[in-house]
Amino acid sequence: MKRMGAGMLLLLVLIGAGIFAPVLSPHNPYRQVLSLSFHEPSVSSPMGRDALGRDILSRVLYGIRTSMLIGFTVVIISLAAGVMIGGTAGYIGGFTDTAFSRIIDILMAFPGLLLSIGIAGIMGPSTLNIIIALCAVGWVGYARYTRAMVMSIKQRDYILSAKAAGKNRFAILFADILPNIVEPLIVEASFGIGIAIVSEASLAFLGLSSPSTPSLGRMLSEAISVINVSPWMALFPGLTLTIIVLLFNDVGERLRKIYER
Amino acid sequence: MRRFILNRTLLAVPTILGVVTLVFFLIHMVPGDPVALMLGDYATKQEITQMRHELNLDKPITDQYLLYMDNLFHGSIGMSLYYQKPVLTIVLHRFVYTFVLALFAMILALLIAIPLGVWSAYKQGTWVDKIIAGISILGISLPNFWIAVILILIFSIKLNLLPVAGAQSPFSILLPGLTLAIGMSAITIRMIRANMITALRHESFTANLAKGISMRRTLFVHALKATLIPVITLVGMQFGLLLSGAIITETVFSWPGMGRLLVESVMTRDYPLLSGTVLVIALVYVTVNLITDVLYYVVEPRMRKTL
Repeated sequence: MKRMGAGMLLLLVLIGAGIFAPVLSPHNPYRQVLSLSFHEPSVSSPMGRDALGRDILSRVLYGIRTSMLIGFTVVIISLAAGVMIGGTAGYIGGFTDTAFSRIIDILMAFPGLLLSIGIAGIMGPSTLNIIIALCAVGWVGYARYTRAMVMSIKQRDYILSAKAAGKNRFAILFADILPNIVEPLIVEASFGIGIAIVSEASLAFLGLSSPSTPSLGRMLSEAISVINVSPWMALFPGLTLTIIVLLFNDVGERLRKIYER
Repeated sequence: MRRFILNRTLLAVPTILGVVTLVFFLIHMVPGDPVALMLGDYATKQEITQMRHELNLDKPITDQYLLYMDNLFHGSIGMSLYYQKPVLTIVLHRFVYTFVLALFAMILALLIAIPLGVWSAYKQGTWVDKIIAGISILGISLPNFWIAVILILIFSIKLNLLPVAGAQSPFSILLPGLTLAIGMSAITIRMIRANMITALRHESFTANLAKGISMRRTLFVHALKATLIPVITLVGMQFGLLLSGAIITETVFSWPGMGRLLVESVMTRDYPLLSGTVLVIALVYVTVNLITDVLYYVVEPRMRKTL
C-alpha cells in the first residue's frame, strides 16, 4: 500500500466522493435557481453556479459518480468478455482463432472513438447506450492481450502434462493458464478505467449522454459557449476530469512497477 | 518490394470488407423505426413509406446488403437527408479541412518534439530532462477538450488574440492545431528521447565530434537520422488518427472537417450521412496505416527479412 503512494489515496477519496455524492453535495444538483444563474464562486457555492443556477460543486460530485460508475462498469464487462473470447481463441486455436482474429482486426480498423460515437449516435443518448457503445469497442484490447499471453503459456511443460493427464481443456484454461496473467490484466484495467472515463466524457461532450444525468463531459460542453462569462463552469469539471484520469494512469504505472519486480 | 506492397494491400481487403459490413449493420441498430425517427413527429404515413422505399428499408435484409455493396462499387455511399446531396461529395469537401488541420498539427508537433526530444536526451538525467519528461507525461494524460478549454481561456479570453471558432480567418487553424499538436508532441518527445539516447552512446557520435563536426550538427543531423525510422511509424500512426477526424477538437473549435460532420450527422439524425462518414473515416485510417507500413519497409531494409 505504501508503494502505491499518495495517488492511490487521493483516488480512493475521489471514488468515495462519487459513492457518497448524495450525502456530500451541499445543494440539490438538479435544482434550478434562475436568480443565481452564472453566479461566481462563493461561500455557499464554492464552484459557482451554471446557466440555470444549479450548484456546480454538487453537479461535479454527481459527475464523479457517473464517471466512476461508467468507468468501472465498462472495464469490468470488457475485461470479462475480452478474457473469455481472447482466452478461448488463443487456447483452442484453429478456425475459432482465425474467426475471432478477423473480428478483432475489423474492430481495430476504426480509429479511437469513431465506432463508439457511431453506435451511441445511432442508439440515442442514454447512460446504458454509452456503456454498450464503449464495451462494444473496449473488449478488443483485452482479447488481443489475453490471446497473445495464452498462446505463449500453453506451450509450457506443465500445461502439456496437464493435457496428457486428460484434464478438461476449459479447466486448464481457467485454472492453470489465466491465473498467470491476472497481474498484467489488472494493470491494463487500471489504464482502461481512465480511458473509459475520458471516452464517456467525450461522448457526453458531444451530447450523446442522457441530458438528465450530471456528467463532467456534458458540463464542459455546456460551459464552452459561455466561457467568456463564467470560466469557472468549464474549469472545475475539466480539472476534476483531468485529475481522475491522471490518478488512474499513476496507479496503473505504479502497479506495473510493483508486478515487474 | 512490389510483392510486399501487393501482399499488404491484399491483406487489407478482408478487413475493409468487414468494416463495410459492420457499417451497413449500424443503421439497423436504431431502436424502433429509423425512418420515423429521421422524419420526426410530424411525418405522415405516406412520407414514411416513401422514405423507407427510397432507403431500400422495405426489402429483405440480404437484398439490402447486396444493393449496398453494389452501390459502393459504383462509388455511391448514400444520400444525405439533411443536405440532399451525395454523402461522398459532402465528406470529400470536409476532408480537405481535416487534411489541412492534420498536416498543420503534425508539423507543429514535430517542431515542438524534435528539439525537446534531442535536448532532453542530450541533458539526460539533469533537471532539464526531468522537466521535459514531466511536461510530456502531462501532455499524454490531458484530454483534448481540456487542452482546448485552457487554450481558449488563455489566447481568446485573457489575451483576446485568436479566434475561437470557425475557419474564416487564416488564424483560425492555430488553436485547434495547437490542441492536437500538444498531445501528439508529448508522445513523440518520449520516442525521440529514447532512441536518441541509444544514438548518443554509439561510437560514431564521439567520432563525429572528434572529426571537428560541430555539436549542433552532430546532434541534429547525424544522431537524429538514426532515430528517424521508429519515429516515422509513430508519426504515421498519429497522422492516421488525426486524418480520421479529430472529432472532439473539430467540434470544440467548429472546424468544418470530417469529425465535425460526423457530430452534425448525429445531431440531425441523418443516418445515411452518419454511416457514410464513419465508413470514409475508417477507410482513410486503414489506408494511412497501410502507407505507413510500406514507408517503414522502404526506409528500413533490415526489416524486409522479418516482415
